[in-house]
Order: sequence, then structure tokens, then C-alpha cells
Amino acid sequence: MPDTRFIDPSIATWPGEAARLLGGRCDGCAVVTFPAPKGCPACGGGDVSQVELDPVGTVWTYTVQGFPPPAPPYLGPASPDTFRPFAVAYVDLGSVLVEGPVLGDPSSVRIDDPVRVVFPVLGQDQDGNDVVAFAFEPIEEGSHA
Amino acid sequence: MPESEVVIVGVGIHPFGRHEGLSGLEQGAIAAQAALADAGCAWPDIDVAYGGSVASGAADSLVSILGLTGVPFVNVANGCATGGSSLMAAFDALRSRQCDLGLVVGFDKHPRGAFNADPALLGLPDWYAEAGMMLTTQFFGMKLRRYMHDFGITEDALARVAAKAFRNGERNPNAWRRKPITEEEIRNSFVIADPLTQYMFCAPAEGAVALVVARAESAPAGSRPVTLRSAVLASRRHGTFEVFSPSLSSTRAPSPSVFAAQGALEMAGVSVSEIDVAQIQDTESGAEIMHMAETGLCADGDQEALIMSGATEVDGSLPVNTDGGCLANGEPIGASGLRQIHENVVQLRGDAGERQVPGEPRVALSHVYGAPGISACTVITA
Ligand SMILES: [Zn+2]
Repeated sequence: MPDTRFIDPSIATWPGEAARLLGGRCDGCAVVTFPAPKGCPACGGGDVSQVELDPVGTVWTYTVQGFPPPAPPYLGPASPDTFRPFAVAYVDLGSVLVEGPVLGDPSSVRIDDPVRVVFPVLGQDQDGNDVVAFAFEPIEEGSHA
Repeated sequence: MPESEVVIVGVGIHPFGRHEGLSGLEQGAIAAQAALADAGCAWPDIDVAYGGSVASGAADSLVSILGLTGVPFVNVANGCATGGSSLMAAFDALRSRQCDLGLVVGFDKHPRGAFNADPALLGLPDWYAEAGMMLTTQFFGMKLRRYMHDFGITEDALARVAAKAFRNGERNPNAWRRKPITEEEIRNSFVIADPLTQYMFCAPAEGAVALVVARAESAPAGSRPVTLRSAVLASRRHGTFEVFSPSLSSTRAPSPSVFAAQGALEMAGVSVSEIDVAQIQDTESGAEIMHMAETGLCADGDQEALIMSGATEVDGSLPVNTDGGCLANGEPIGASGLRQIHENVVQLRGDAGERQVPGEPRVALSHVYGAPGISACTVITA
């Protein structure tokens, strides 16, 4: 029977209300990378510890994906009928900038917008399972992060 | 014994574009024969060869077309810097006096449509492609959007760069796209990766370029040498903004283009103010703009006024991509970097016809940049 699964259990603590993305912090130079690297790209050190990333940040830069990504591998809506352009951003989470899609109207995304990480259903895999991935969601003015 | 001066004595090109029924290798052979004829020498005179293609097979197979002379022929595979790396290898072999006369060749024939990438081959996790982020076009849009925000570059400048490319392509018989396109059409074409539209992007293509290089003392009689002053390669450092990066460091570092250009100018012993003509990587309109500053041709933010005032046109004070660049020529990866050097040689010889930079240009810079964060720059002088 079809189920719901996370796109890659090694990159977040999903499921749960307080799910977080998981990165790696170098024990030597403290540089944070997402996803957790095998070796530190900054200093070449081999000791990297898992770290939960801040769930809230700001848009550092963005674009709008104007055409359906090749599917497969893309698991989201990719047919001419179902595809809608979506924003993709690097979000500054303080320790690291993480690339991810931004939910909502792509034409409204701007640099410095506050966003939070969320875990929506991206699409279905070959076995009919719902696949959950991470994305960023704009934080409305006046709401609490 | 002092190092030998190295000169480019012959250039040959097979036109860029789409060529049904002609393999990449065959286009490479046509370019090689044209370069040999231009240099006034023959294939058996060549005592070292370097070449590469990304999608069209081993360059050393050219010997089966050009002739089995026993020449040492090295295949080079270095992504977008394949041509630059081949030239660098030939440069080193000649200036250290290991050889007298070398051939450098690059060719390619890519399928239509965007370059598709397999995450596993690049050390990336499957989820990155499954989530819709494994597209080079997103990288170009995002690097550019931040740059425009930081340095006040407008969408008008993006359209102007593309329009210039197609105007220059119109005056280049070897270019693929030779029909001018208005800035309005460029702006209003399909938005591929905001702020970049379809006509602001180059496309995979076909083509070939070859150069004959020599020690100055060995230049064939009657050839018209230009001097190869430097060829420098750099790869990325931690903190640069590169394609296919699930995350970026919170501290920024200069692009590899900065180091390759500085290195090439230093080795050549010329200052950036002496550059008369430049061919720089324009995978999309914004890349030309950002690379103008990364190569040191201008300061960050100065591009807007330079472009809108016409300074980067063929008859401007800082002519950039006079042959139409990647935008008008397409990008056969193995040949693209050598196309820039071909154009610089043609310009320094005064042979560029309708697109000739006026005033007898004497110093030319070329710059390639590509995945996953490599850059190659060369300086040649008349
Ligand atoms: Zn480290």
C-alpha cells in the first residue's frame, strides 16, 4: 500500500512539527555545509559532526524555474498541464546558505525576504508513495516564526 | 638556456552551428587542416599535439584523418577549460624547448537542448535532482540576481549584451546565429530562469577550432605570428558561488576567474588598461557582465554605464566578444575556449573584416569559465 516517505532521511529530522535540516560542522574550522560532507570543503579536515540547521532565514538570492525540470529524475508536477513556475533560492540560515524551492507566488520573492523551512509533499515516486521534500515558505509580516 | 618565446602562427575554424552528417571529429580535422594551411606548414612538420572534445570522442583519433606521422598526441579532458588546458600544455612544451611546432585542437558536437547532468557522476545526492534543483540555468539566474542587487545592474543591460552578441554574429561568417534580435524581443522571450530569458542564454552546438603554435625561432617562413604571452588555469576555492551547490559557505571568496585573469596578466607583464580587445565567457548575458569585473576589465557596477554607452561594442573603448561570443556561436565545449583565441588572433592581425576593432589592437585577453568552478585565461600580443 502506498505510503509517505522522506526524499532522503539523511538530510533532515523529518517527521515531526519541529523537523530540522541536518548539516555537518567541521570539528576543525567550524564551517557548516549542507548536506553533511564526508570531508570539510574549507580545510580538508575529515572530522565533521552532524548539526541541526536553523529553521528560519532570509533569501540571499533567487530565480524562477520557468520550465519543467526533466522528469524523471524530478518528482514534482512536470507535465505541461500540471507544471507551474516556482522560485528557487539560496536561504541564509546564519551558519550556511541552503538552496531550496520557495513556496507561493514566485514573482513575489525578493532578496532579504524572511522564510522558514517546511516539509511539503513534492510528488509521487514510481511505487505511488508520496515523497516529502524540504522547501522554504515566506514568513508573513506580523506572524511569528 | 632561457625560455623560448611562443607564437601562434596558424588558426583554423570549422563554422559553429548545426552540421548534419558531419561528426565532431571531422569538423576538428577541417579546422586542423585550415590552421596548418594558414601557418604555411604541413601535418608532418608538427612535433607535438594536444586536443580534446567533451562529447565527440578522443582527439588523437584525428591522426587517422590527418596522417599517421608518429606525433605525440595528448588527449585533454578538462570540461569547459579543455581548449585552454590544451593550449597551456603546448605553451609549456614549446617555451621549455621540448618541441618546435605544435597543434592545439578542440571540437564538439552536442545533442540539442540543455546539457543534462547525472548527479552521481558529480558526487551529488539523488534528491538534488529529484527536487528540481539540478539545472545549470538556476545557478546562472541566482548568481546574476544577487550581483544585480549588489551592484545595480539592470535588465536593460542584460538585453543589450545579447543584442550586441547577435549584431556581432551577423558580421562573423563563422557564427551560428547571424540574425540581429532587438532588445525588446530578447526581453520578451521565454523566461528560462528569471531574470534570464531564452535569447540571453547560449545553446549547445557544434564546431571546431585549431591553432598552430611554434617557438618564435621555428615560425614557418611567411607565417604571420602573434605572441602567446600567457596561459593560466585556476580552480575554485572554498566560498565561491558555483553551479550544482546544495549549499554555499556563509563567507564569500573571489571566483577562479579572478585568479586566472590576474595570473595571465602578471605572466604576460601587461596591465589590464592595455587590453585592446577581450573575449570572455558569456554562457548567458549576465555572465559577460560579471566576468568583465572578475577579469579586472572594470570595477563591479561599472558595467551598466559601459554597456549602455556602447563601450563594449566593436568600435567602443573596451570591445568584448567581438565574434558574437557563446551567445551567437553556441557552445561546443571542447572548441569554445579556442574560438576566443582564434578571434583574438584574427583581430590582432587586422583580418576581422566588418567586425574589425579599429585602431590596430595589440593586446588581447581571453577568458573561459565553467563547471565545476574552473577558469582559463590567456593574453596574446601583436
Ligand atoms: Zn574545516
